[in-house]
Amino acid sequence: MSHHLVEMRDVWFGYPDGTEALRGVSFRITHGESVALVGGNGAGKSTLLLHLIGILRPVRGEVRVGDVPVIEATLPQVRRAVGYVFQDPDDQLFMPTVREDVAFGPVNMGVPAEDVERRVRDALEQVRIGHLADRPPYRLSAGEKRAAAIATVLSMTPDVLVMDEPSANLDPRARRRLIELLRGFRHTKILATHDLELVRAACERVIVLDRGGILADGVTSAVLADGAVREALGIDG
Amino acid sequence: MNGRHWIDPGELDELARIDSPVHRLDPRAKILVTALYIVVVMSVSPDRIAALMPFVLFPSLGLGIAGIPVTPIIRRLAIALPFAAMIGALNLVVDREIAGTIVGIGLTGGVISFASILIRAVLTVSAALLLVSVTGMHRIGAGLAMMGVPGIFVTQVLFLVRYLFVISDEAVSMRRAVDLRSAGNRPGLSRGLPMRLYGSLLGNLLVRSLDRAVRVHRAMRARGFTGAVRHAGVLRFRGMDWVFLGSCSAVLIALRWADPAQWLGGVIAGGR
Repeated sequence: MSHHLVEMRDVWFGYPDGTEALRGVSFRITHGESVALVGGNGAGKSTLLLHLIGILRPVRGEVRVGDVPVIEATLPQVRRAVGYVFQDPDDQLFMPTVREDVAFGPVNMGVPAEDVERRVRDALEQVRIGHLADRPPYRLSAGEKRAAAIATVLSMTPDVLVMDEPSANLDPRARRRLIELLRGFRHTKILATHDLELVRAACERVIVLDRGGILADGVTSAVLADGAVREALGIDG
Repeated sequence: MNGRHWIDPGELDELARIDSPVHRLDPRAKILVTALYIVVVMSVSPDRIAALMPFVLFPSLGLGIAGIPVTPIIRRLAIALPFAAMIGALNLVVDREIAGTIVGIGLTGGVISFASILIRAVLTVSAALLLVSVTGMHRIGAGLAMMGVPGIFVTQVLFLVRYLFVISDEAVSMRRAVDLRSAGNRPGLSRGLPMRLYGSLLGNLLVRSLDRAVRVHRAMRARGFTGAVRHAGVLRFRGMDWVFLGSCSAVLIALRWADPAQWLGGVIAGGR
């Protein structure tokens, strides 16, 4: 992996109904950075994140992860490097038990069986839910599901963690735990969120999206103090 | 979605996590025995209803030894039986010739074959439900794959099951939303809704479940899924699996050819 881990160059994307979701987005995220992607509903955050793992492809421009462009031929490599935690854990957790769900990624990567077991154990311990390994995911609380969803990507030992609305539906205690977890990870992190408290606590950099374009990009405290950004995000006071 | 529905598709998978001697058997042994059981039961001539009776033992013993409650099995049987009844009902009309008597009452060939179809449906569907509840769909998939069943077939089966989860989740959510806003006195029954609204609800259910299925598929692709379901862990066929497979197969074949019901009847009649 190169020093510049995640990069978008003049990325444009539109949905079939004509909605232009990304309009000339460019940024570069370097190794170990924690970056928040903020913006109102429909600003293009989830669309942008889906480009990072090649689920969506730009109609124009280029997405690069490490040294490789995100194209069909590099998808296995890209998806090893980028761990994606989806907005709704119920979409992400689809196996009969938490253990099998956490093993799903490594098994698909062709990791030997004995290593899969070790990776599952490590990932569950990292998010402190080792005791839930044999529970069915749909029996877990929202916070436990979120932790399990994170474990499903940690077991793939990614370089970059991408999370879509990680604090959605979490109670204050589960949210605090999530923030602690995020602070503990050394991965490069990209979080799409509306939760500005989480942004301040876990991200040193913010990219503000507005109607598919980048409105601001910089140090968290400075960006969130900017008048135009505050107005775009609807922050009072 | 955490609320359980009366026909929750995850319930049998949960039962599959019980620890019992039947659960511990290799999925392949259980699949083979269940398949043989179904073939044997279906091969019994429709007019030999008594010959089917000994086959009740297999699902009954299986459920008992595995500690599986009967209620979830009966609930699912109740869904399958109307289909079998519809098929069998045709026989009632087509075959009206008296073919036998019970306590002096004449039974037509149609009645006998109708009863035979229903009994065989109960037996075979129970056996299939028993297999799922003592193995789990995912391990059945792993077993089928290791037995050389084409991957595309195994994947289709597992996806179908997964889609049932998705569609039932969405259906339960929509049902709640409807109940909460229905004008009926008994919201649980959704009274007060005109029938034409059900068309729109069904359309919505399809769209919502497809959307959800797309999101699940995206999550799978993001973790390296390329079309074939791979299974963690290696299945091992041990001595107990051979014993189970051998003994069950022998008993099933013996029951098929020996007809113990007739033999028992002969013994009782001869003893008089």
